[in-house]
Amino acid sequence: MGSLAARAVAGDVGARDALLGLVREMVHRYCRARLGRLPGSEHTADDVAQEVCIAVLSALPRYRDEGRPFEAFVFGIAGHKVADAQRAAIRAAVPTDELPDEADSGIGPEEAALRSSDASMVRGLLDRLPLQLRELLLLRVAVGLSAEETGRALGMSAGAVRVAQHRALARLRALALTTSGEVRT
Amino acid sequence: MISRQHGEGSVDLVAVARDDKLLDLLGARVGVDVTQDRVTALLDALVSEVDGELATVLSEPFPELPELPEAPLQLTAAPRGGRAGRRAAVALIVGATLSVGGVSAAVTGDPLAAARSVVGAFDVGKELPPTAAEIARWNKRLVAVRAAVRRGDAGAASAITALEGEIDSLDLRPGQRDALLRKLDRLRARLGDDANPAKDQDRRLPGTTKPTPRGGKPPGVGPPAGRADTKPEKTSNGSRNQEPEQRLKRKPLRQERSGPVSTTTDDSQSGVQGAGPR
Repeated sequence: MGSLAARAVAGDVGARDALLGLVREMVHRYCRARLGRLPGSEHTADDVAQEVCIAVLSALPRYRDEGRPFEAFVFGIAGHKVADAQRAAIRAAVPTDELPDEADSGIGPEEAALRSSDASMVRGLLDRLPLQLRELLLLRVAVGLSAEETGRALGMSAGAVRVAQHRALARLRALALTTSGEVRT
Repeated sequence: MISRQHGEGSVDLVAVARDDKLLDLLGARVGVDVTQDRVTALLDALVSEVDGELATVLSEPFPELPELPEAPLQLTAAPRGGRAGRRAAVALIVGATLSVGGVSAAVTGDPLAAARSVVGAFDVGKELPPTAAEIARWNKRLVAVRAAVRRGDAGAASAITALEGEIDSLDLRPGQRDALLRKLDRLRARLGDDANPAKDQDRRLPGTTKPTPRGGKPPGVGPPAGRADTKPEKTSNGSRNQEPEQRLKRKPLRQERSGPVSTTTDDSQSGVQGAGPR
C-alpha cells in the first residue's frame, strides 16, 4: 500500500485508483465497526467512510512529507472522522423513516434484535477496553489487517501487536464472563 | 507452557500464537469455530454485521475523483510577500471555493461538489489541510443554515450557535477559522435583520448592511460598526461562552480589511464565483 501511495503522490492515476479501492474497503469496515451503534448508523458509517476516502485523497500529497506508514495515515484520518460523527450524533436529531404503506415481509423486530445482540454486546465490551487495545482488535478483526499491517497503523511492531491482542482478548473474555456469565474458554 | 517476559509480566507464547491465528481467521473471513469460545462467537457476529451488504456498497462507483486544476489563477493574483502572501492567497482560494462549492452543491444537487472544489483548490497550492473534507462538510452545513436563514426558519439561530460551538474542534489555520466565524456573524446579523429590520441595524457587520440611498442614512442607524462604543464587553473566558442574546450583538473577531481575505464573503451573490477553480 505504501508503494501505491508513493506512485499516487507522484501523479499515477492508476495507482491512485487502486489505492482508493484498497482504502475504501478498509475504511468502510472500520467505520461500520466503530459506528455500528449510532442511530441510523448504517448510512452514517458509509457516509463517514466516503468522507474519509475524500479526505485521504485530498491530503495524499502531505503523506510523503510526514513519512508515516500509509496505514497510520489512513486510520488517523478515519479515527478523527469517526469521532466527529459520534459527537454529531449525540447532538443531532434522529431521523425516522416514513411509515410504510404495506406490511414489511422482512425479519421482525425480535429476530433482528437477536441477530444484532451479539454484535451490540461485543461493541459494548470493546468500548470498555483501553483505546489502543480496542483499535487493535477492530483493525485485526473488523478491518481484517494482518498483525504487521496493524502494527504499521498503530506504530507498533508486529510482535508487540500479537502480545497486545492476546491481552485484549483475555480482557474481553473476562469482561464477557462478568457480563453474561456464560463464557466458555 | 512456553512463556517469556514481556512488558507487564510473563506471556504464554502458545496462547499468543493461538489468538493470533484466531484473529487472522476472523479477519480473513474464512470461518471459525464459534462453539468453544463465547468471545469468538461475539467477534464473529461483529464481522457479520460489518460485512452486511458491504459488497453492495463497495460495488457502487466512487464519485468522480477531483482533477488538478490547470491554472492557479488565485495564486498568480496573490499579493506580494512570500509566505504571508501565499497563505493569504490560499485563504482566498479556500473561501472562494467554499462559496462556489456550496452554491454548486445547492444548485446541482451534487453533495460532493464542495469537496471537489476544496480538494482542487488545495491541490493547487500544495498547502493541504488535514481536514479538507471537514471543510467541505462544514460548507454543506453552512449552505443549509443559509437557506434556513433565508426562509426565516425558527431553528436557524440555534443552528448558527451550534456551528459556532464546533469551530474550535476544527483544525484550521487562523485565517480559515476567522473566515468561518465571519460567515456565521453575517448569517446571524441577517437573521436579526429579517426578524426586526428597524431595531437591528446596529448589529450589522461591515459588508452586510443593506443598500442605502447615497449620502443618506437609514432611520435608526447606530454608530458605524467597529467603533469602540459599539463593541460588546469581553467576558473572562472569551466570546465563545456568551449567552445567545449577547452573541447576537457580537462583532466579528477581526474587522474586515481590504485584501484577499476580506473578499471571502459567504454569499453566492457576492461575486466570488469567478474566483473559483476551473
